[in-house]
Parts: sequence; structure tokens; C-alpha cells
Amino acid sequence: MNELPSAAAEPFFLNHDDQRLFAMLHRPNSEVLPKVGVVICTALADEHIASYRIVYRFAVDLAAAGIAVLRFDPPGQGDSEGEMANSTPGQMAVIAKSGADVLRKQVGANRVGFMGIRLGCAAAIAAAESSPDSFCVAWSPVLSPDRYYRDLLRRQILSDVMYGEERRSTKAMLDELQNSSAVADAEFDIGGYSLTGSFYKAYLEFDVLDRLSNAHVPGLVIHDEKLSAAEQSATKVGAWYHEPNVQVFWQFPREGSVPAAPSRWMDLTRTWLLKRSEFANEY
Amino acid sequence: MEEPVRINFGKGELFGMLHNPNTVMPRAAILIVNSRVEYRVGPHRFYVHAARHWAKQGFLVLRLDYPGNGDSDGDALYSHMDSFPIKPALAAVSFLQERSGGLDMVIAGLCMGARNALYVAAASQSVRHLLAFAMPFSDATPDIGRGDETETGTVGKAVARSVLSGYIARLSNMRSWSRFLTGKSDYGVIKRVLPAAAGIGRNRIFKEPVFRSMETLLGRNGEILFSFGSNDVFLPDFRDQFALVKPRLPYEADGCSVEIIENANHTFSRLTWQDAAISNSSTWLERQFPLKQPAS
Repeated sequence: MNELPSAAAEPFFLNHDDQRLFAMLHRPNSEVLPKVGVVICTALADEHIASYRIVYRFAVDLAAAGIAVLRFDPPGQGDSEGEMANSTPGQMAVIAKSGADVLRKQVGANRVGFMGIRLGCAAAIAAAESSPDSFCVAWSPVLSPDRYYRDLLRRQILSDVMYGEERRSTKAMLDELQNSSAVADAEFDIGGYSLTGSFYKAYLEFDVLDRLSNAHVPGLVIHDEKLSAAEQSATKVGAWYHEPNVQVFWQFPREGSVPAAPSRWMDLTRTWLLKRSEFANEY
Repeated sequence: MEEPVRINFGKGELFGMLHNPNTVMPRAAILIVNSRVEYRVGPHRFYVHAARHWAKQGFLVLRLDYPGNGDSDGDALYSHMDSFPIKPALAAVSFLQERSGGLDMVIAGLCMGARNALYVAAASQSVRHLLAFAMPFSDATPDIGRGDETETGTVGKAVARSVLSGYIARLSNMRSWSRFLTGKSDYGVIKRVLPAAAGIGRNRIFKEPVFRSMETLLGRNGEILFSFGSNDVFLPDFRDQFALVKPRLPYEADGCSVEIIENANHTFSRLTWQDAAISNSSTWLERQFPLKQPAS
């Protein structure tokens, strides 16, 4: 049983595997029941922290437009209990679907879909593909987890060198993650988060574009990077926007300020979500 | 048990996460103040790990979002990292005093959060304890410290040298020369960085509000734990400047303790470094607030 309060825009905890996961519910400001609801699967690790306020602002903005929103901190992130190892696409999708139940049963949303940010897009897609009449929005999905992890590990190696820690190569670390098993799972401390072999492999095996193409749900993808011609022809994603000049809001700017909100992404997504209320049963 | 809370600060509500200890009577209350860049979880979730540890130890702990930060109301009021409107934090102090039934209070923070915590501690008459992790004694960057909420900034030697090396690296860059010759460069930064890098005016580097706040807190028989990573870029400045100002502080800063975490960096970005810093702080908290023996 989730500990859900009765007031609007309220914090509560989702219970998942005996762990309390922090969640925030944004009810629309109108008296009328919301036609559309969206569950937001956030970015992970430091990207979760950097983008937190942007997600808050977007949720408030959507609620003002009549869309119910539920966002949650995945295991080992933000105020949630648990470990990041349990934030795989499959496990996060289960949590996102229990969030969708809250939006349907306790807020009264007619149609509920999922939105992901960065690594969180995989969970949003996994939840959408197994939810009838849903939809999926992906903000800057990690299209190449391999490249994502290589960048992450390179930064960690640089930090190891700076702070006199044991020196390792990117290849050695990737091999260790790849060759780990459930019995002997590899584990690296990356910026205060435990990166395990099982977590690494779960994202590596999740092909975002392929899964979204075959999910049979309406999809909106907004990305700062352009798709290659091969990727474009391989995907049947309903709507794709390429916004190359967006400030990377999932990283803190160097000067130590807070990231700016991607207002065009927010506008595009709000308009697209509002249209979902007009077209039920699109597939 | 963790409990989301909202606190009215006059212009809206602050959001915070309260960690209730499992004990009937908490030992003391701890308010964690952030830098207004990261939200209430802190850099690399340091505040979450620390708060859970301290709550297990028997402390009532509040992690707080500032206005425009995390889940709090309002705009960021953000001009630079060093500008810190204190009123919202004082509302949180009142809230925590009420919730704890007037127990002693510790203010804690990391990096600029530590400096903000010092200001809050000094401004709260009843507070005597400060946990300062990686607190910059001088400005974090040379272009802060000049806003509507603070006086002229000060630049430490280590930071100044790091900025200066950036300028040297750009000497062969035509665009940088073009900016310099067309008046687009920030000459103020260069003017402040050069003497600081050369070590000129070292005795004036110590930021005045930091000194005044420490004076106030230590004057109340206050206790401060400074915790730094051995690789923290601010540690050399701290060592230089603390030695200089110590004789001028009440009781010659006898209430100050210093812990160094081997190999750790400025934000304690590894779990092992966080564990070490939190463990040291727990020992210090044990000393400050020993468990009371039940009356026989």
C-alpha cells in the first residue's frame, strides 16, 4: 500500500520490494478530472541531481495545463532507499507502472503514458510497451550505452589519476563489468554511485530505438544529437525533434550555476501530450 | 523514518526531508544547508548518506531545499554561489526547534553549503555547533563575491593559481586576445587573481563575513568541526589562513577541530571518502552530545 496523501501536488512514498521510493504527485489545478497523466522516469546518478529542478518545473507546468504528473526517485537516487543496481530498465518500469496506477485510480486520469530522461528513457519505453493505450516521451535518450559508459569510466580514470587512486584502464573496467555474473557482480564507485555489472549489462542490452519502434505506442523523442541516416530509417518513431542548441540540462554548468530549463522541449512536449487526450486508442 | 515537510518562509514554502530517529528523545537536531546549486540530497548524495547515518545515531535531521531549488517554491534568487539570503534558513531553524522541543541544534553543510551553514549558525542565537565539510575560506571562483548580497570577494592562492593557469593556456588563442584588446575581458578578475596568485595580501584573503561569523559562534563557546579531503583545492588556503586568524578568534579558536580525509577531493565524490567523513563527524557528534544515562 502506498502512503498517498489527499492534498494536491504532494510528496509520498511508493513501496517497492520493501523499499520506500520517494515520489511527487502533481494534480492538475482544475476541478475536472485530468484526461491525460504522465509518469516521469528521471535520469540517474549526477544527471538526476542536475536535472531535478527542471523536472520539478516541467511537472508544475504540465499540471497547470491540466495534465496529471507523477515523478519518482528510482532506487538509490534522490530521497529513495535502495541501490542504483536496482534501477535497471525492467525494475524501473515496474515502479513506473505502479505510479501509473496511482494516476488512474487515485487521480482519475483517463489515459496514462510514460516519459523518460536520459537513461530513464529505457524504463519509460519498457513501461509503455507493456501498458495498453499508453504513449512514450523520451528526452535525450542514451542511444549508445556503450559510449555513455566509456565516457563515464574515462572521467573516473582521470579522477583516479588526480587523486592518487589505483590506476585502471577503461577496457579493463568494461571487461570486468561485462564478465561479471549474478554470483560475482563487478562493482565500481562512480561519483558516489555503485555501478554494477548487472546494471551495466541491463542498459547495454536495451536498444532504445528498436524498442521504441516496436512498442506500438505513440512516441515523441527530442534529442540534442542528430540521428544517423541508418538510425532514422531503422526507427518508426512517431515524432522526432532534433534540437542541437539545447543547453545540456542534465549536467551542471562549469561556472557552478544551475542548468537552464529547455523551454522549447517543454513547449513541444506539452503540446504533444495535450493531443494525446484527443486521440484515445491510437494503436 | 523519513518524512517530507514544508516550511513557510514568508514568500512561499520550503521543502525538506526530515529524518526522525528511532529513539524517543533525539540527542539534538541537525539542519543541513545546501549551496543552492545541488538540491537537498547534496553533491553525490552526501547529505542523504550523512542524514541517514546521524538519524541512526539518534539525531533529528532536516535536509532543506532553498527557494527555487529542489521542490521548494520560488525563484532561484541566484546571482552567484556566494549570495545567500539567510531568512529562509532561519525559518527552517525555527521549524526544527519547534519539532525537536527546543533541543540543541547543529548546522551542517558541504562546500558553499558549509559557508552558508556558518552564516546561519552565527545568526541563530541558540546555535553553538557547526559541521563544516570542505568549507572555502576564500571565494570559490574569482568572479564571485561581488553581488548585492555580499561585499567585495576574496580569492585564495590555490584558486587564483588555478585560474591563472587557465589564462596562460589561452595566451596562444587569438579569440582570447581579441576579447582582451576589445575590452570584453573581465579585467577585474585578472586584477584580483594576479596578487592573490603571488601571495600578496595573504592576511587579507580570509573572507570578512566568514571571520565575523566564526567570531560570533566561537564567542558563544561554540564548537566547529572542519572536515577536508587531503586533495581539496581549498585545503592549502584553509591551512594558511586559519593559522593567521586563529589568535584573533575567541579562545584562540579552541572550539575548532580539524579532520582530514586521506585522498578525498573537495566534494567527497567517492562512497569511501563519504563514509570516512561521516564517520569522523559521528565521533565528533558523540563527543558533543553523549547519550544521557537513564536515571536509576
